[in-house]
Amino acid sequence: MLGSLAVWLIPLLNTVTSKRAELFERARLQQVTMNIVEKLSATRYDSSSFQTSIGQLIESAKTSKAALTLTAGKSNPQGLRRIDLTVTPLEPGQTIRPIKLTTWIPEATNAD
Amino acid sequence: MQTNHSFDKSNITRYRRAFSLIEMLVLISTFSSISALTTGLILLTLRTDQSLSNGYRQFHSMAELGERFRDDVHHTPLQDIQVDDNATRLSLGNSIQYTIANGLIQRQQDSSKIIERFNLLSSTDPEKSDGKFSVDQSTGLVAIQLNAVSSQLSTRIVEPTSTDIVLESVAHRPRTEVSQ
Repeated sequence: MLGSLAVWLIPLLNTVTSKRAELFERARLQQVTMNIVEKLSATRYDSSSFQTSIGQLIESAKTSKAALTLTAGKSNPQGLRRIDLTVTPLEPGQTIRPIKLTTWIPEATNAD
Repeated sequence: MQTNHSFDKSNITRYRRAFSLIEMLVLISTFSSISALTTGLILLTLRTDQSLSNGYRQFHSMAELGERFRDDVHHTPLQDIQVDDNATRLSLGNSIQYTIANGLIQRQQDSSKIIERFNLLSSTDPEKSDGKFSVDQSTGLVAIQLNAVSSQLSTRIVEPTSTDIVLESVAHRPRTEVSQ
């Protein structure tokens, strides 16, 4: 009986510890996502220069071991463009769900 | 015949009243093995529980520090943000200071004398942990770069692993500076 308990308990403890590592990685990815949002908040959406800043953001995400996907949506009447972010871990074998977030950045105007 | 049979039965009953030495030794060794295994499993469970508690404390610290840091940077003009020569002290205006020392990140607010400590680095081995602040005056990017050490526990060993964590925030310039 004790043997069967040990056989059942040790994999369970291993699962718990691997879940802990996943949680830590997810917390780290959340901070990577917030860093990207911070940098996006300082940019303006315009078709020419936005591609360059997106490229830089994707590269900076890669250095943080994360893959970044950005999708620009429609702009709202207040002149803000919808941007959808998806951040996934780069390391293989990670079973963490992607972090999805929506942010709004201002459209570039002539004053910018 | 009848008498002999009853004599044998009573003999057997008398014999079964006690355990032999061999039986006792087997029992004691089985009990010792079970006790050792049970103690091992209990210790393993306790160690895992402690590791998980430390882990949750770290996640909480990371999220809280990120939130505080970004909020503080957003409320401070870029020209008031300074980092010392060792890159271990960040001053946000005259009121808020962040320092990295002894495996802890400390936030001190002068006005309310509140000191908050965030345990992201290894408190047991501060030498292995590292952290520094940086400010990019051209882009307004303020960052905390941490080499956090956490004990990754497995069922066999506890091994410290280091993870690079970067918390970034963009300080907004005052309107007058932007227009120039």
